[in-house]
Amino acid sequence: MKKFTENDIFVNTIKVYPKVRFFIHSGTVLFNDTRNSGVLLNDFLLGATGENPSPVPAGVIITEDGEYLLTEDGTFIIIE
Amino acid sequence: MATKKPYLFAPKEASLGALKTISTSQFVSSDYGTILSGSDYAYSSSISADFLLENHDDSKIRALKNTLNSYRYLSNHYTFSSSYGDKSQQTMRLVSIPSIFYGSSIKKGSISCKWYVTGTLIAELQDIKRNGELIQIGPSGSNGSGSVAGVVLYNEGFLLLTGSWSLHNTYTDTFESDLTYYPPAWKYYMNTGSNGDYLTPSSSFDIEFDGLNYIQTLTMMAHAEKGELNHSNNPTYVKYDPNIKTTSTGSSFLVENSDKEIKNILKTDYIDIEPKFEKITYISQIGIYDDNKNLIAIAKLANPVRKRQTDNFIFKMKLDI
Repeated sequence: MKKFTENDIFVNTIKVYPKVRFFIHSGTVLFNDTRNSGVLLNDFLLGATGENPSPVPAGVIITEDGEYLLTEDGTFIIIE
Repeated sequence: MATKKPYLFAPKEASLGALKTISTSQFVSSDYGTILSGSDYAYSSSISADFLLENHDDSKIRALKNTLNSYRYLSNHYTFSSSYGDKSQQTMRLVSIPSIFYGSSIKKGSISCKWYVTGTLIAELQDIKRNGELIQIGPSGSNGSGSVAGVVLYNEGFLLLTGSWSLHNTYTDTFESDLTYYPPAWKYYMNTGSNGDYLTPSSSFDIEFDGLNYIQTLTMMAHAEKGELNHSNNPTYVKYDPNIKTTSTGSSFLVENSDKEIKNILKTDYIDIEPKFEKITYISQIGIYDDNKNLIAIAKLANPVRKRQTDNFIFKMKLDI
């Protein structure tokens, strides 16, 4: 039997159920009530799908970590 | 601003392997070691719907044969070929949902497919038995209510809709490419057309479901014991007195003045009585250190917490990893 001490670190897995909605009309698909102009990938991965995910500025790439990365001549710059 | 996306590339080597998009003449004329690049990798993911006509024998459906048959124990409607029909021959709508939208799988029983005609709900499908059968549940009294219109593959993210009964008494539209007017049926679900001739603007469709995702988390506890963490080096922790110098400095030293009095910030309801002195701090952030005492992270509180000498706090910090 393990006795917990003050400095123990707990690693757990939590189960989340992100809500997803597609609305389709006349050749247009609305994702979660927002016309999909770019949605953060980790919005899904973290189960934090917002009603209005912020659109991605032109020229900005989003990594799978959800970071915004600006690329210019192969140099990656993290913007906040 | 130049934007670079990941792209395919392969150098010309002695094995003479080349990307399909590189022409033979370009490949032959290139020197060995030349990097030949192909197209950009796809950087988007979308829901898609394929309409498969009768006797289609489509490769996408054939690829799902073993998967469908593996769920036979849940419902006979999954069976690839049975008394309910042969899926390689039936007219059907195959809806494909990429896993980026749901994570590990779609939550069983959470899916709902609705069909609206000029804003009025004409039919709805749900998996009320949670066995993957998409059953028409409404509106009450609608044609085909209670019938199974298709199946859903929760782990793989596919919907196969084969229901062919009419969902409306009067409304018809050009759901097929032959431009003939047909009444709405589940096999035409998500058909909106792609050009002026095929558009079906009266119909709109709604798919809702819950994804299922597992997130690793790390939880740490930070302890603020009684009588500890009640002192601060913040300049505002001591009382301001213009007559007392805060620090003495020289060419090789800087000394804090020990005569500075700690400010008493204990709350009192009286203005003429100084309350009994007590050391109070406000904890505003918690530093997280590694084994070598390097500061690796800082957790900030939304509101600083008042810490009296008699208080004993445990701060719980959780991090998604």
